[in-house]
Amino acid sequence: MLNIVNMIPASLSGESSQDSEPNLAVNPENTNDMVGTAFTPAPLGGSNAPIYVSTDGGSTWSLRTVVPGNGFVGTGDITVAFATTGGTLYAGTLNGSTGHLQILRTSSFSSTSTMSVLVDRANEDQPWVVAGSVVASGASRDRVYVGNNDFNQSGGKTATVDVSQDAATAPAPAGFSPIQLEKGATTGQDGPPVRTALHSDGTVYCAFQRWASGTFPNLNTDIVVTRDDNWGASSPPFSALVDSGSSVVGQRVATNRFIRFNATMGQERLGSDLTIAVDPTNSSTVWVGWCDRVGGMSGTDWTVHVARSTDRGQTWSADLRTITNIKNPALAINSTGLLGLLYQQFTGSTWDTKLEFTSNGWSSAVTPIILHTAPSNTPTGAFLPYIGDYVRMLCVGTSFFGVFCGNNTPNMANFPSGVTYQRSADWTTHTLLSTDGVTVVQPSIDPFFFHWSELIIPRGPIIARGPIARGPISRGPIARGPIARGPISRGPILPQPIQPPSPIDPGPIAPSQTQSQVKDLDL
Amino acid sequence: MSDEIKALIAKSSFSFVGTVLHLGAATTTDVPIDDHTAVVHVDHVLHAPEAFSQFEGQQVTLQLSRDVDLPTVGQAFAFFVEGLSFGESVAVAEVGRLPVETVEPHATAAMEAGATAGAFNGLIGEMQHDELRSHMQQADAVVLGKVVGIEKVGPSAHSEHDPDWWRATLEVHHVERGDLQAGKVQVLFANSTDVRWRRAPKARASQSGVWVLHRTEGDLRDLAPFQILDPKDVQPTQQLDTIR
Repeated sequence: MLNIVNMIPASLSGESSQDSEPNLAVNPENTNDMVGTAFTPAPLGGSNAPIYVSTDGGSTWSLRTVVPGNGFVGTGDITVAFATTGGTLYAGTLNGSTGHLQILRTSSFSSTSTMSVLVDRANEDQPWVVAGSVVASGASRDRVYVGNNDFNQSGGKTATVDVSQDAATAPAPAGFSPIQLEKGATTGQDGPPVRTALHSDGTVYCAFQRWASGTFPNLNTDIVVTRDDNWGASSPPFSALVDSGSSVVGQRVATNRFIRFNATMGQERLGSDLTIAVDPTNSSTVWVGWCDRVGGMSGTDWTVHVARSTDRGQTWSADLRTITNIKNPALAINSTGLLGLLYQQFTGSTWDTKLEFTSNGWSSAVTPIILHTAPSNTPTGAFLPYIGDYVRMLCVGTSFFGVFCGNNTPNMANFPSGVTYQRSADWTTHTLLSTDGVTVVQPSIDPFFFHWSELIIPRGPIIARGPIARGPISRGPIARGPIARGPISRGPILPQPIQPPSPIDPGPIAPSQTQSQVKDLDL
Repeated sequence: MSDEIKALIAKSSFSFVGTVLHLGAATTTDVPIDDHTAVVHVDHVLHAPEAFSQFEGQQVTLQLSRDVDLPTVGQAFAFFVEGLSFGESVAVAEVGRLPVETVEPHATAAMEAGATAGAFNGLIGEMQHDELRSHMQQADAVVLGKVVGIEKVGPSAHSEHDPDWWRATLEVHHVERGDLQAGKVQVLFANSTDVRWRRAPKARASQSGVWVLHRTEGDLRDLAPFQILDPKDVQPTQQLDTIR
């Protein structure tokens, strides 16, 4: 089963921002509860940036302005994660006003209250949050890891992870402190991405991109993995892997890989693609994916490589999967050991977002599922990143959940696997419409959510249904009654009894029909 | 009264004439409901971001201010609000309200001019003018000049969010304010199109205008004495009258 949802809610149908660089958190205790993020400005301004919230498994989304710092596109870099238990949501951001790294927390993800700031530090980049929970001393403890590129670190060794062993309730900084991951020599810094994979047995892997040699922007990079076997609390932390060649802490997965930082592909920039995933069924098996330019200084490609270790990161396979001209690889492994790879491929005229699965390390051929394909020159980029420096995919149980960004033109040809739009759109004329159902809105970049479950395994070909023809959504005044609040609404404070909800009658097309663009895979 | 409206606009990017339809009720489950939660019909949008300019006719959930009396069902006011949640419908919080009669002249004039959601365009223009004037007065220097040179400088660390510092040399024809002389002056600008710097002004060859200069700090002082980072730091020449 595959469901894809455009995350822009109906009330923001008039927006045309470049809502790029998505992220996603799914509550492991209740997968109906989700939080998404993107470079989305606060719709009505204010001092906070928004997050996207879903309480129905990603079918519908709404925004809450709860992230401190609101720049012209809302927050800066942002990633989010739920703890395994207890429902606490964590975020790592670059504050939209100050640019500082902030680590945020809320015990109520759907609240409209501003998230608490636990850490605030300047000169940082790309915070990446992963969270888990463990029972220790009779109580549940949230273990939270925020990978980041910390220019405050000494010796040009900037790859860092902030760790808290008990982050849920303590006052700021809630136990967070930075751990310098990089132990080798660099050109003066590491690359932006520092990614973490957490296993329930306490194994924590961190991957980073060492800028080993070269002159900016032409760099030779190493992909390095470190490991801690006790939730990042070992002494010294993240020192369990020693490179088999250099004897430096941190095993190199690949060496001397060329990148031209901030090179472009289409309207997008390149340079910092990295992903890591640990097998939930076996913490010794870990996968890493990264991008580099195989053609070197004179090349033009941007190629993803995926490698696997089955001995806790000490030795690594050769490339098990390579794909040319892609960015934003994201790996995730479900509870049956099925590996998923999400990526966005530039064809020269389109950005194609694809999802593929393997249970045998690509020993047998796979057929990627195309989630989205749309012209890469629409819309014209307003800033970088165009679609984002990262996407995210994660697993809960057997399900894969993910987010990506792309051209939001309402054309079913762009969504071979189907899609649901909340925002107003005319699928016949391929036109976005504002909240009045009439005013045309120009195409822009939107975040899209997807949920793939192997509970039903696709066996036959994917047969795309034709476009669902319908006219403009004539919303007009929303003709429906208020949502009665129950007992409280009948208290004496009310000047008159609250009317019970009346039947929803929005006119020619009911709101539920705005969800009607879903197309399941034909099985 | 215009000052009162301006004060409310400064705290709110969305205002509308709305009629209270229900109290203790909401159009969304996104916010908790209490006696100060109301369903309000948007009769007329007074001012709004582009995405909300077609919101007339919608119903919104309004969390009423606890600092003023509760309205009764059927009453209409000009509500000034900030956002709470945005889903199938919108929930907003009241930051102020005015009697409808207060804003009617503005709304009528805007309708006659065909300005959708433009009731306060004139007042907002005045506020922007005041803001620009204040910005210029707080700057370290304001000059009339032309770009006669551009070169890349720095930095020592690289990320996607690097400002990509460049240095422009201005030929200053006139010093409106500040402690510098006519002649050449060097100014840093962020040439990056990254999300963090996209709105920072980019100096271009032969560009002329009013330059609102701010002294550099820290290591940046080694690169140039001034910088321009605020979108308001480069203005058309005629804006010089703003601070006079």
